[in-house]
Amino acid sequence: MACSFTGIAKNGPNPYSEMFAFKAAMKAAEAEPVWRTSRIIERQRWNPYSFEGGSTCAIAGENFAILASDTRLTQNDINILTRDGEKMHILNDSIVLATTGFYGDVLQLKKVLQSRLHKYRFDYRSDMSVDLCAELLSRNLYYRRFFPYYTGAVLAGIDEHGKGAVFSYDPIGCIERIAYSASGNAEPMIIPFLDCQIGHVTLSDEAEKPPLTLERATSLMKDAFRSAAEREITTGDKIHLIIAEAGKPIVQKFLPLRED
Amino acid sequence: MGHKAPRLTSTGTTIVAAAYKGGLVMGADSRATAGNIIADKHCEKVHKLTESIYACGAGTAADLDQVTKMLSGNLRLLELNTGRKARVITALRQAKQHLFNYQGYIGAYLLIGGVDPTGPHLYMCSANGTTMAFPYTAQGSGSYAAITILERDFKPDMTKEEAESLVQRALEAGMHGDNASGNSLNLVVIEPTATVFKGPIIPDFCKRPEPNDLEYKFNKGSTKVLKQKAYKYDIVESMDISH
Repeated sequence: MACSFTGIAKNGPNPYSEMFAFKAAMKAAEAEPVWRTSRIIERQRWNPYSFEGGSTCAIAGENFAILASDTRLTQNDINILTRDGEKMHILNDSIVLATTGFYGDVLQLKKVLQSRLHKYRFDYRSDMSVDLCAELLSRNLYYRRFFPYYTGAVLAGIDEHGKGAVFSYDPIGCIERIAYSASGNAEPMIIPFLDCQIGHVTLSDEAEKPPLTLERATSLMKDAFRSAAEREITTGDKIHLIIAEAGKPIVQKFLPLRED
Repeated sequence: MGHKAPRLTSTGTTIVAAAYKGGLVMGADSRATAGNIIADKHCEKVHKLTESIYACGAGTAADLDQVTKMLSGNLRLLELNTGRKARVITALRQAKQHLFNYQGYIGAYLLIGGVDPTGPHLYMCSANGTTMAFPYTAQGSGSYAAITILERDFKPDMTKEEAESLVQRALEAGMHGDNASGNSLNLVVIEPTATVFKGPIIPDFCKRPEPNDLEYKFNKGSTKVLKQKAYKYDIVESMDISH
């Protein structure tokens, strides 16, 4: 060692090195005291996100797409903010956006998409197709890779060939075109139900598989939400149903759900 | 990071109680939640301690069951040893000393109430052992909604009917405004002469507004059989379990 116990250097390069080391250690301890455990740090960190609960769901058919959501917005899983919130947004005659998650981000995302769609209409003199909008949404989400829009988006509508389309996203823009999708707090309950009833994943090859008509899809959608509202506390109040059929205007319906 | 303790809780709860002239009404909803999933739609949150002392609980379901079981046992022993009816304050003291011992780690938030020779009493006992006496109060996540009704409509020396309707309306407010409360409610009306338990009462907004559209029935053979194996066995002994 270069320093003696008295702190005076005999032949070391810097007589104050011990003092500097002590100061540095003191500073480090002040910045990150040992009693600030990772748990305390985690608790104290400001969280810019909140979650307003609820669920959305979409089913694509041969010539239709049908979306549903509940209308309850919840604070901290417990407190009801409103019983008629809008989780679904009709972007144009063939595109509907359904979102759960952080409602602030949902509204901002809607705004961004609406303005991009507006500009598209101005530039190209026609409405954007759902496939294009799906890609646009994916890019908008990934653009915020490290400060994401905390939303579980489902985009659905009628594509250029008149077929129903459902696109599912994660918060940072991973996109997938699928036959049916759900997002939100009741997603773990709705997806297995649709897997069974539409995907027929559990059915044997011989079993009867009813075709997915608009009527059946609508009924399945209603039943999914009625059942989810029975067991999931943030899903309830009303079902908001949006039906997009090829060559027809978009139809909206509201049905009652339990309010407790 | 530590893990969250996996506990089936009924933290989300509305429990309400109010005293009236000569008696006490207590009540609770019946929803038990585990996170945002309803674990039990018809759980019993009104616990009987003695013939004329009841406890409504919010918090961890298992803790409430154990604590109230312990209290009712101890109070019964006390009644047998002394040959008198147990007093509400005794139940409260037992509860708070037990809970204080555990420094809040037993998640039981209780409303303890009843009628004894000294009159009707209502107490709140928090998980850390804090206790308070009230003429009327509510606890649980639905207490904010419930207390608004109590604050507006409570008056001293109500009749039994008034008190019962007040508690029911307060509970309904809690069940309506709070996600973690609902499904049905239970009431208990305690008077010096008799104790009447009412429930489950299902308010209109807790009823399912529409039935399912479709019937979900699976015909035989719906599930794919992957493997089959037959076991041969002899019946050595059999027993009738039909009744």
